[in-house]
Amino acid sequence: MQHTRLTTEQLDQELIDINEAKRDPKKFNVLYDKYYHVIFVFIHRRTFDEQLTADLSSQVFLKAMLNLKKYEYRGLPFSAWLYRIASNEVSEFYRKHKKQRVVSLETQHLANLGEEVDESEVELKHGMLMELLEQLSPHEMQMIELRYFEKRPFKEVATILNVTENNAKIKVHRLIGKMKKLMKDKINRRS
Amino acid sequence: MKKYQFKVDEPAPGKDISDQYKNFEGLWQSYATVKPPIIKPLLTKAVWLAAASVVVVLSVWFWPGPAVDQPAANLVDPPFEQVNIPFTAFNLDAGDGGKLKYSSGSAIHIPPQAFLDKNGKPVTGEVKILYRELHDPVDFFVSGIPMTMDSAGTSYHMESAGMVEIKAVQHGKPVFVNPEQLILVEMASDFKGQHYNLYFLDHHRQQWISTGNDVAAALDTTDPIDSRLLRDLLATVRSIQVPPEPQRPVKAGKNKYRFDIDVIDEEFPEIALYEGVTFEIEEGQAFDPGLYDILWEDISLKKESGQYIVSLTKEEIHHEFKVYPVLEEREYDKAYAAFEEKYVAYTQALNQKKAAEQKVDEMQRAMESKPEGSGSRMAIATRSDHKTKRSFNIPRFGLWNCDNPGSSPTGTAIAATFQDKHANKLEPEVVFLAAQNRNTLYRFSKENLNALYFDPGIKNILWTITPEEKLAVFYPEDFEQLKANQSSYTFTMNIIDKKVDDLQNIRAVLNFDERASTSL
Repeated sequence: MQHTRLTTEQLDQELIDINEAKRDPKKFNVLYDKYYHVIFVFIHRRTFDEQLTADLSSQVFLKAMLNLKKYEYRGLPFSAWLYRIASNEVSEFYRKHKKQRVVSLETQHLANLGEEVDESEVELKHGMLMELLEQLSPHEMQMIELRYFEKRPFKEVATILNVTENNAKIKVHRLIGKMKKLMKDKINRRS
Repeated sequence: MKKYQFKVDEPAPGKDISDQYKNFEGLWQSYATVKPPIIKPLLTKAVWLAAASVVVVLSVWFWPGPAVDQPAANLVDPPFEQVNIPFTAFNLDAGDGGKLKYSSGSAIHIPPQAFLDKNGKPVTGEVKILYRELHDPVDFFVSGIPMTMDSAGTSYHMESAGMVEIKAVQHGKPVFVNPEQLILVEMASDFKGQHYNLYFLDHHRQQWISTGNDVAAALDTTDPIDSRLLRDLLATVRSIQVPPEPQRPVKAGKNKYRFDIDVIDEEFPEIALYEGVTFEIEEGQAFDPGLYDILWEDISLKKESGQYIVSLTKEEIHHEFKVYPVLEEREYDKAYAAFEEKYVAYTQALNQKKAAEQKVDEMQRAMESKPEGSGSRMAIATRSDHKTKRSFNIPRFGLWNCDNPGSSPTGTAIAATFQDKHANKLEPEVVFLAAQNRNTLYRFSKENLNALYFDPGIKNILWTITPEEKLAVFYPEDFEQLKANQSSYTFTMNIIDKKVDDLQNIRAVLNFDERASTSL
């Protein structure tokens, strides 16, 4: 999947747009137009329900508008902040409704994750990998989604999870360590 | 039921799809409805202050309830997974209410019918109250509590006279404060004075919100020496963390029906010790496996008289099953080893705490037998030798802070770089600073290390966490090497090899053995 990569000039322009919207909330429509689709896709990957996606997307932009004055530029596109709000909205939805969480992934990304978790016989392990993913907590799955299924840089993962970049690296590193161990146990049992 | 539904190689919706739902006008209308009208300050100063005080009182007493305060993004971000300030659990009958006593000397007064469920209906039966207090920079550090607030465009550091975090659950679900039966907290604070305001950490607004003032009064009339000894003893009691009594793990039976349920760790700490716990249905109950195929609106777990019960609800359908926690064979050995280790730790800590509590009891009895008013009050700066009772009503559960917003440390801005004793460069993500007589914690992110401020006139201690999760510390005596008006400096940090695995270790490393910033 593609991510927003902005040049310095584009980031500068975006900052102007944000400051304009802080002064005049009606000007938020510039940011809304720019990011509606990516936020819609982000949520849709986690719900696979168009109407629900639209409802949650509206909530995300409403919260962004209401809290825009508190937004601080941290060297990342505005979308990183929107993703964080979206991620919270999705988590809140599942927490409240106790529905089965949807996780979108591409075969290639699963293979990449497989390589991280165990370097041998990747093709044979997909089934086991899916079983292993099933054992992850929602928070752990969120890290895997962001880092491996959506290929986001650590800085962005950290912003979305609202932790430091270092902390995000440590958390992902530990999680992969845990998955490696689980995978090893699985392979040993089967053999 | 499986936790996740995987969608593999499914195409993402195109822009034509998302455009169908795009509606800025609708968003604008929602915004205009939600956004509170701005009141322009046309009032005279006196009237304005009077109006403000009314607003403060109203906001404390008539906070809309029940209000859910969901932790949004990690506003609270503890630096370690394994170390935090633990909650103490109290059980009480919601209909009766009661007075809870915390080891610091604080009291929580819960009136009868003080709880509402999510639908605003009064809660009956037993409720579990989870309570903890945070009093000094180490508490603020390990708990990851934000210590800054913005007001009128200016950023302030929170100088705290103590914080309390309180929540309540019943059958795995949060319950809420009844706005007509507010809970009164009498927090035993180390700081006296009426200059502290009361703040609530609002996760939705992602900031501390001022809600008025607390009321401070002397908590006791004991003489200062006894009081100091008692305070130290109480600090010892508080620092001994008794882990939850571990539950002996049980292997999952073959061909038995089970539920996989996410539980609140604080409500079932005995289960949270193990990974991969599921709940097996006790024999002798009619269970239809077809129930697995239903998408339930609500699945919850409760514990009544030591018995775990799973409830399944959808519209009018409701089922309850007696269950017990089990582990898969592959998880069992690891869990059993963990159980043995935890059980030893649990009994040791319990005995240690009981011994310390007994000493406190003996001392309190001895002090109660002395005539009242036999001592005089002494104080160093605002810290009091006596505990001060800071009283406030809480209209909602969450984190409450008696606080006096202060400025950043005064002093020259230093462009800070860091290294270890072997001159290996360190690149900290965050650097923490605590200063004598300022009960706060300053955090400098790596982006701000080119302007690290500290007050050279007082003792300071600075530390960070290495990627290996070790503490790297720059002690008060190390600060003596810095010259006045130095514009840049490489801090040579003492990397502490001691394992960061409990609060006492961290306190010892940072010289916060006693609960006082004056111990720097």
